Amino acid sequence: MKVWGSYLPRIAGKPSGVVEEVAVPEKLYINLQRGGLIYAPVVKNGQDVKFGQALAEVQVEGGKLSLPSPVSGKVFIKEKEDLPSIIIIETDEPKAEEGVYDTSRLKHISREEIRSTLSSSGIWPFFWSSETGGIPSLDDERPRAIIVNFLLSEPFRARGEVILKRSWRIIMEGIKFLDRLLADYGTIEIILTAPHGPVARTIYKDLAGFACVNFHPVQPLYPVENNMLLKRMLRKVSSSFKKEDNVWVIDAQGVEAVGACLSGGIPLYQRVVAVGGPALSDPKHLSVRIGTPVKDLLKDSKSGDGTCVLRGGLFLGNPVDPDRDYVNFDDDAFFFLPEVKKREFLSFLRPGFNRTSYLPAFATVVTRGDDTQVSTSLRGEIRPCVACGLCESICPSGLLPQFLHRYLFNGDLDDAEKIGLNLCIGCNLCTYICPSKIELQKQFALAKEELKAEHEEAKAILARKNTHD
Amino acid sequence: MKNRKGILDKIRPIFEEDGKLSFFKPIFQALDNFLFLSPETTKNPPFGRDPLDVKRFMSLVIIGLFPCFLASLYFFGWRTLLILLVSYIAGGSVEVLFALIRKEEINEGFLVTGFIYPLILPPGLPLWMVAVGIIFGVFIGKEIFGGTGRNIFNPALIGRLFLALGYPAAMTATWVKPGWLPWGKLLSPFTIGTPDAVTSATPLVLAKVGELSSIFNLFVGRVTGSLGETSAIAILLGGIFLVLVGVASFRTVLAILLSFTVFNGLLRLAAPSLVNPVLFSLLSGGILFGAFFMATDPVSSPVTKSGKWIYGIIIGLIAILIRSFSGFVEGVMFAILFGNIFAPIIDEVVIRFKIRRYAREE
Ligand code: SF4
Ligand code: SF4
Repeated sequence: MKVWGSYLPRIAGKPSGVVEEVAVPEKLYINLQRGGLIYAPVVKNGQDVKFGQALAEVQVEGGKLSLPSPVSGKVFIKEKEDLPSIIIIETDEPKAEEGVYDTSRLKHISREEIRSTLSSSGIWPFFWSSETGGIPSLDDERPRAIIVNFLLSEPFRARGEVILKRSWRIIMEGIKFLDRLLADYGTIEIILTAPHGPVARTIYKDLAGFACVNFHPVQPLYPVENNMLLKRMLRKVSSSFKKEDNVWVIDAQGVEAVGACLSGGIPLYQRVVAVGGPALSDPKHLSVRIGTPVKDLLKDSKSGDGTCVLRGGLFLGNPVDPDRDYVNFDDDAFFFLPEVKKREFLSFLRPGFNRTSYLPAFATVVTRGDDTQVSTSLRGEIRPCVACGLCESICPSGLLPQFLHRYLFNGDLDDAEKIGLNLCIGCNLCTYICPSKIELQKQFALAKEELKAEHEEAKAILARKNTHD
Repeated sequence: MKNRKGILDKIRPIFEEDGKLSFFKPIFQALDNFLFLSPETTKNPPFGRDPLDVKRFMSLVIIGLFPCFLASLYFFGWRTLLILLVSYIAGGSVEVLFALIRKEEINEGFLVTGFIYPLILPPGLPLWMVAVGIIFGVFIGKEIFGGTGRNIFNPALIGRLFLALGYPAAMTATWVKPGWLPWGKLLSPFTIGTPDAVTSATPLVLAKVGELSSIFNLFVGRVTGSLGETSAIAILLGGIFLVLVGVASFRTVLAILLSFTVFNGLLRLAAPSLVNPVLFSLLSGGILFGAFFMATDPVSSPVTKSGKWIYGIIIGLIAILIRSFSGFVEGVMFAILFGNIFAPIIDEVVIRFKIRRYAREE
């Protein structure tokens, strides 16, 4: 399968396949905001909580979602002004994690039970539904297909193959449980890289007898992991998929959690995060308890001042403050980006042995070297669009970002909508590549919001008119 | 490095808002930007960016043009350098003047225009005409449209068009015989004024009276013609480099050359007396230079990928038609300007088609 455009720069600091355990710190910090939802605490200040006990809950369509405690300990609630509060847990003596859910009736667990177990163990939000555009509703929503995606291409997110190697059996269990959430005749679609790699071969073997599984080898180019793009790809390879079909997506760590929960009774309590980027001396994967301060991830790495830590990967990540931010339930990557120190002299004349570009215009085209120079620098002056067309070549949605830009620059929202503004998946590739350093994606995102508001307003006016008539 | 940076930083305050020389801020900034990487940092995701910037983009074009420039030095002597200087100084002044008036930054794009323009001029053109042409080209071709990125036509071509219409005699009769000796004209005396040995006989003019120049001479460039356009090998060297690094669109280049070749072949079959043989046509005049360096100017060509194919086909066709059936022996300049006019329309059509696809996907 191939998508339009897409790109994967060779950036220095790719995490090795090693997964190191990070010791559980004395205090864990649980952010009560997750995926745009704000959870309300259901524990009291000073209360003792057990591993897996619900700390906070939020009501959603068809049920409620909970955040389980990743350790046993004593709880303190810290209110923050105009921010969701944080729950601090002073951890007890560490004990081995044991199942907290009843798994005796495993074989015959019903769909309803799966749903309620996954939502109280903090795992349900790992699903993405094309119907809601976010977390699937807890009502009886049943997808036509569930895409299990082992490819996280963005530099540098926790790699599917690393997770697979670590928790092979659990993941296979997880995949088998997904089957029960499907609509009748639904399928499980597995996305992997090389179809001939050892990993792929073994999955084929392990799941071979399993009736409804299809495999899709995909080139590991960013942004294959984008949910909307995955659905579009599915429609391209199989004409039986319709635009309105409901498709869910879940990634490697998501299925791992499903498997651990439904076969072992274990709630979501830890994440494997990839720490990488040019500012790190030994990039790797870390297995961390949820709520661990970000600064604990750096203990043995030489970095610190002059480093910008991004939550997520290079393309979508936003800066965090290592002293005041903590590993959240959904985190799987922290990118360590050097801050610019000095302005390079005549940089545009350098052959470029240490930088890579989408355009084969630097020496790394021949040497295959990595980009070690990526930093918080804009790497050029802001200029008017020079119509180079690179954004068009790279856009995975097959859009014309340069025209979207031109129309929006002239305030022409309608024309921008006509040429596919709403198909933009916000992958940021166009902004990354633009030699004129135009903030294309930001402009598109703002315009999309404006458009949405406009449509809602129009709908409201129409509704009012109808009631008048 | 510290020192160089230090000096610029020391004098920086004079150019700021309330400094003594704030009017000249664009000039200072241009120098500063030229020498050092921009100090700007990213404010929005992605927080790291691709290292390619407009400066790099433009400098690659100049590297691509260098073989042609060297060939013109070799065949037509040091006067080429003088013409280049005049082009940069005269055109650059217009550019800077407008930047000062508009209080905008000076754009790197001019470095390319100022370099390409001399290469499409006859070697013996009086220097004042060189200056008039580039001033006109930058002013009418670019600045009145609002500067780089907003122009419809290629400014260098507009400059040349102006000279061709305003001084037709000079533009058709100031060709110079290339150096024949192994050292070309590198050892010839330096002439500031128009050289004495001017002629009006380019290979295309000669072909009209039935005299075909040798393919070998056309290939190395030992013929009369515009400074940078005679040497096919130099053009191919630089042009293929530009295509390989992705700065020139292979779609435009291929489309022009293919359409030119095919139509040339067909027309030759139909009217052998009027139309030159294909290989001769390809190597003579400005078709190669035009295809690789002029038509690929991203700003004045269509922006969409499919649009570039259509654009190239139109240019190739018009070029061969003008060459074969009009009084002008050299049609490439007009063909590209025609293409420039069509570019926005071609884009419109391509977008119409795309809109249908988008509607299906949404
Ligand atoms: S952000 Fe939108 S327009 Fe830009 S490359 Fe991604 S999908 Fe295309
Ligand atoms: S990448 Fe930037 S400069 Fe190039 S066409 Fe797109 S918007 Fe214009």
